[in-house]
Amino acid sequence: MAVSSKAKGDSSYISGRESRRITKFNRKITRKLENERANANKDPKLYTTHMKDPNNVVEFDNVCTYFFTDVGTVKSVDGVSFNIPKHSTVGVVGESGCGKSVTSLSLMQLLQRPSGQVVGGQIRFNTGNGEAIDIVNAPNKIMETIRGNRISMIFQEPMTALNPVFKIGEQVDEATELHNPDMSKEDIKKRTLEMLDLVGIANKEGVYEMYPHELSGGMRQRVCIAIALACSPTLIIADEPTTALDVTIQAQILDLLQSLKDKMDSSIMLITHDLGVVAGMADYVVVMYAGRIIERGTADEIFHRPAHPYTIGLMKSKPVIGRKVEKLYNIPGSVPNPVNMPNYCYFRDRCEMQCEHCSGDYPPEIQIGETHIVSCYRFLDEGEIVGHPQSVDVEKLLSGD
Amino acid sequence: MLKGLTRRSFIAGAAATAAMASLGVGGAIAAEAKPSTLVYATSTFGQKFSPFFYTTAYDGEVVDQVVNVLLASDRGGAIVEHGIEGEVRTYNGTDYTYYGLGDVDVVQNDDGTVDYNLKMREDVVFSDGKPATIDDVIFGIYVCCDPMYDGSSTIYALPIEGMNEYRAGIQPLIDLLLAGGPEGASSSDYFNEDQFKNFWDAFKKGGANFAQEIIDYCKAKGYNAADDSIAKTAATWGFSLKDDATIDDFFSAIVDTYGYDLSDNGINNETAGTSITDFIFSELDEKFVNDLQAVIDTGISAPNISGIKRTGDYSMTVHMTKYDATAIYSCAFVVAPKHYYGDEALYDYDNNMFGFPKSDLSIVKAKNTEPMGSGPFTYEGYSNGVVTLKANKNYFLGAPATEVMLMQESVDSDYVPGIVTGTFDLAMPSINDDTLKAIESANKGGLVGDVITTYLVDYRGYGYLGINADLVNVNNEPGSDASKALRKGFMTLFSVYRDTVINSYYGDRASVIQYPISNTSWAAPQPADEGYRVAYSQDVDGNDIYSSAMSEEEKYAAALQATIGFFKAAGYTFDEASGKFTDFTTEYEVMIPGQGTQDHPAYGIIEAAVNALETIGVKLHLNDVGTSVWNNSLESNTAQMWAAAWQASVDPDMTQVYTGQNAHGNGTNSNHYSIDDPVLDEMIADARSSSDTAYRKSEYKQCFDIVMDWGVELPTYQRKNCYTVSTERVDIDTMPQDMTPFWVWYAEVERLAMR
Amino acid sequence: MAKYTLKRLLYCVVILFFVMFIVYVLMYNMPTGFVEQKARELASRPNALKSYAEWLADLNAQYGMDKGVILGYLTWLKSAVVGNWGDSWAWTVPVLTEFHNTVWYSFALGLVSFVLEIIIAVPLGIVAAKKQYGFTDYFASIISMICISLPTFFVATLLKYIFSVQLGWFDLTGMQGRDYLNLDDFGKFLDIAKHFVLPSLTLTIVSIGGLMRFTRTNMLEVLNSDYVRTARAKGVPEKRVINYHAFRNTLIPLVTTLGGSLPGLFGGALITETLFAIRGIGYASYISMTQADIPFTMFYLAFISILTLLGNLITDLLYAVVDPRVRLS
Repeated sequence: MAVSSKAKGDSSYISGRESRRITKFNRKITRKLENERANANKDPKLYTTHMKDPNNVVEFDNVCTYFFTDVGTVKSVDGVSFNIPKHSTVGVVGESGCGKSVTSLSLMQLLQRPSGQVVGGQIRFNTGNGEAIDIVNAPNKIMETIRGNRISMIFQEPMTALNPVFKIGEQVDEATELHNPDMSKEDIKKRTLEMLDLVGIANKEGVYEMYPHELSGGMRQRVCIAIALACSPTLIIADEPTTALDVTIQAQILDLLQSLKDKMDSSIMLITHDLGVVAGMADYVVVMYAGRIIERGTADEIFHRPAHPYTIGLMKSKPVIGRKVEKLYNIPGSVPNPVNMPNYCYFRDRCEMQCEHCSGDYPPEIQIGETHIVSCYRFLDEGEIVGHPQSVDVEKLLSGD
Repeated sequence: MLKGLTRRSFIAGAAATAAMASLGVGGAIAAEAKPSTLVYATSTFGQKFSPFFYTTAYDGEVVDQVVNVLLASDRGGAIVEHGIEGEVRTYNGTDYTYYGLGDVDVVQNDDGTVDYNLKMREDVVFSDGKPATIDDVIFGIYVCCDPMYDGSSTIYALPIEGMNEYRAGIQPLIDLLLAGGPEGASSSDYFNEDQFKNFWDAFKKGGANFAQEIIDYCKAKGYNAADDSIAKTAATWGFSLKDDATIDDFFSAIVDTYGYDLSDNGINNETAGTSITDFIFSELDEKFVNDLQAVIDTGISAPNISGIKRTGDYSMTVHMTKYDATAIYSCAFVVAPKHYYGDEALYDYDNNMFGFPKSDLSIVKAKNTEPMGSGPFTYEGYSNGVVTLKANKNYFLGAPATEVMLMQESVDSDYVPGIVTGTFDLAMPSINDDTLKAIESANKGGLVGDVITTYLVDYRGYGYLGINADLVNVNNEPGSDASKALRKGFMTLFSVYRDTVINSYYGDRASVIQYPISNTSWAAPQPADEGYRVAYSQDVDGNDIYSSAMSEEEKYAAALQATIGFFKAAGYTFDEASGKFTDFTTEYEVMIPGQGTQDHPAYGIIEAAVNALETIGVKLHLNDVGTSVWNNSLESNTAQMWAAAWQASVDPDMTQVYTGQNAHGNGTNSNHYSIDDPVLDEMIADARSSSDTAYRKSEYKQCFDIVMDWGVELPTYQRKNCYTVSTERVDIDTMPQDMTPFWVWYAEVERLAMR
Repeated sequence: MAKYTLKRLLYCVVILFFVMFIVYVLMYNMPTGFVEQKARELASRPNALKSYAEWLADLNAQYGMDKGVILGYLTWLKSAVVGNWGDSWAWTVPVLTEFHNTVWYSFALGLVSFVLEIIIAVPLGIVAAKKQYGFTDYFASIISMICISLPTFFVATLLKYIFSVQLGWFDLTGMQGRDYLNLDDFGKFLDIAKHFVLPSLTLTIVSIGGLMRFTRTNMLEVLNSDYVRTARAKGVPEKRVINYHAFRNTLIPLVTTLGGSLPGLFGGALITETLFAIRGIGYASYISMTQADIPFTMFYLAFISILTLLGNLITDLLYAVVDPRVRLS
């Protein structure tokens, strides 16, 4: 990784020569990766595989998603590995910019290509009968049958998530229609009304004929949820579904999601930065920081026995109702520059609990409980090492195979 | 939505249609043999294609193809008197025979009246097959003389007997009072006794003042001594009275000569400045003056024009009350079919019915868009900017060789490229460097070549520099020798720079002329003539300034010296030592309409003169203005010196431009030079009333000399027009030889053929 | 909706009144008037009986220019409102006759180039947006920049030079060919169509640049929006995402702009028509204006104002049709 000394000190300045070099590099590598993709799409053997554990719906295995931007290569997701078991809710927490959304987009193959590419790792999706599809290499055609059908997504901004020129009914109908081409129109409409009812919309016939701008934010998010559920997917990704809504509606939506989870049998991947939400709903929690997972485990373990200093800091900064404090706690420092990530623990400069190993390389993943894994040198002696998040060297990628 | 393949196929489809279109045209024509077609490019038509009412020159060209006139003109613009058998005239060393529809015989009678006996061919047939007779000509004359006629023909202004009576019937009160005379009825349906008395009293008083003014004028001008008797002074003015005549007697004598006619042809012919009408009106109060000028419908007008007499089926006579040399041009009357433009049922010569209801020209105007006549072509229609004309089999010189002529509207810059690409065959583009370059590159060198043949024809007008004598003079005496010397001083200096500047601005598209008359006129002095001189080439003593051996620089210096001499004669002091005038403080200004971009041929001349004058201490201002400013100052006679151009009429008569009656803002205000010389006025009047061409030419030469002596006009250049013809498609040999402004490209259109 | 339209129409009438007044004042004060020109022409003729000043006074009275500006305007307005626009001074036929003779050519020209430019520019804009920063995008952008920058007269002259002078495929100018008379009706139609090819091409070239950029910008905005992402997340095939979900939204500004320019089809293209000698309304108005033909110019400007106001109204009404958010319930 060639890093110019200039860029280290003042990362916002890029000289003309540097900028041209970056652009040239970006062009070359994106072209290479796109070509590889195109080739890979033709051979089904390259994207079918098996799940490591057939009880998982999705297995992330050292996924690396890089963005080739004008200021350099941004490593949004850099060696992320975790699993989403069946019928469970996994909460993915972290600050803004830690890579949570990108992880979900990688899973849906909705990245902004050609600048965004999954350069390494596997995302295995359980198609049933022990078969799995590696989403990283899967062609678009296959993805189109998966999206909305097997995996569906609810987005953050309900106000803009619906197409303003089509009626609500049409938009929900479409989700069903696309993946059930043999259904008749009346059946589709019946299903839509069912869904609208399921998400708690009272005037479902009226809403069926309305346009999105005639509904409030909460209603629109319900509609989005209805769309997501229309085909009974195995995985629902909810990307900060309540961030844009006020607290009362937030509670309603979360209740809805909870009830649906019980009814519907799908797994939910709940992405949020709101710990309270996670606490209420999640079975498992994954904590991400600067593109990597620093701790994962059950909700109970994360909340009551946080291991990583970052997680501890997160818990500490949660204000508690009734408790008076002088000053609200916050973790000092800020997230490192995503373009030039150092090769030591990302949290080291902000950590209050450094030990002597921290001066070394990036800490490995250490298992300290059956389901509890953390990337921190403090537990080097306690648990066993289970893996290392592997970065991908993009220069090698270009010049290599 | 259309995208990708769908889009491409759509574009292919559109292209296919366009290709089919071009093929389709070709296919449709292959079926029949094409008639020979000539396409003439012209400018936007005003769409008034009537021989009586056309306004633009382009409409006029269309009319010329369709409707003939009675008398033909030759290459010099003069009327051909024996067109029926054909008349031979020489032009530029070649004999040409001219044919027309009619003959004219001018007979001057002893009493000063003139008869124009016109005869017409008996075999003229209109394009619809009906024969033409003299009645059609008479019909046309009455259309143009109708009181409600508002077209451009000026037949009504000719001194034809009975014209005014025919057009009367709506007369101002003053005319009615004058008609009876002071001895007539003192009251009538139109005026009462008071008005009668007031008017005639004022007439007497005003008349006396009028006569007095004449006397004063003669004495002021020095024609008479201050103490000369009235009779003696009147004699100078041309009236012989008894020795003790009074002012009233003088006026009575004038009245006797002219009758109670206040017009310029009557009493006012003797005016010494103020008109008789003004004098009379100044004796009356304003209300009465308005009443006098108010028109009254008396309903009395003559039923016909007594001077127009039908003498046979193919002959007529026009009787005019006095000789006017310019009248004969108007005798080329339009031969328009009365059964088409008028109503056949309304024509009965003997009962004073002339084919249309008097004062109602609506049936004539109804045919404004579709002319018909006995011309070489018939009008087929106007659409899509093209006038279509088809050959007229009944044309008296035979059916034209070209079967179809199209006159197509276009922009000037497209004329030459259009000829090259085959869109047009003939055009008259404006000459500038770009046009000439385009022609030369199409021909691969030269103006006459395999693609385009160019004809350069003199233009009917000329450019000049003028000085207003009323504003540029010494001691407010415009006619004094000193003033003349002052102006001649300027003119001499302007004159010497003409050759260089005009040559560089126009090249060979224009030539420098020496007399204020276009070279195309028969009255223009030719270099071979006796007394022919370069304009302003003599110094104050009458010696020639230039010799043929001088170089350009030497000529400039000689001119400057002559100018110094002139200014000295004008009374300014010249200091030999410094080489400058010490008291030439007046700063004159020259106005040139160059639109602020100095784009005018005269600009360079004045600029050089300004610099030269600077060296002798005289300041002259050069003002480059827009056309409106220039025109306004010219019309209001506030411009001291200016550059302009003048389009000459066919006849060289100069009444409009050089006579005193049109100076100082009076009359037609066309004499912007304010040249006011009674000798000149007399000569012009003489020449106009003579029919002897040689006499007129020599009179006019003397007039030019007087004008140049006054130093008020310097002719600068005369440019050429150009016709461009396609050599590839037009048979060049069938184009007319020796074309002039009067013998244009379609002068022999019946011969003009395509290859 | 009907009430809204009615209100807008009433506003249009008021605006029109004042616009025409301003136009009348400007025409009134033009320095080189037709009247003055005619007076000069009449006075400089040989045998002229009246001087320039006298002719000027006569003609001014004859053509009604001797009243004050406001009175003159109201007089004109009174007759215009009932449909009597007077006789054109330059063409000496009634204004409406000249209008009828010329406007349909302009309309034909406008319609053909309108259709062509939509067919070419809109798909190109969509493709350019879809493959942003790709070769197509750069290529289309360069083409549109060139087309926007070229002035009409330059394009016209260039086309004439290439296709008429050099290649000889078309006539240089004019509306009908040399052999027009001898053709049958269909042949005549084709002949005129052939003469309309170069002018339509000129107008199209000049307009596609702007339209393509406009489409591209709007398409880009739409493609980056959330609801397109939702559509993709639903599993909608990419083709349908572009052509149905995204395009339907791009259509809003497109349709409204294009719909608003529909009345402009009647306005004529002055420069193109003059250079190709197409006797359309633009050409006629140019001739009239240079000759200060007040009746015709007033009519033409009133016509253009009406078209502009109509265009605005149509745009606003179309918004309500294509965009459900704007509909007044």
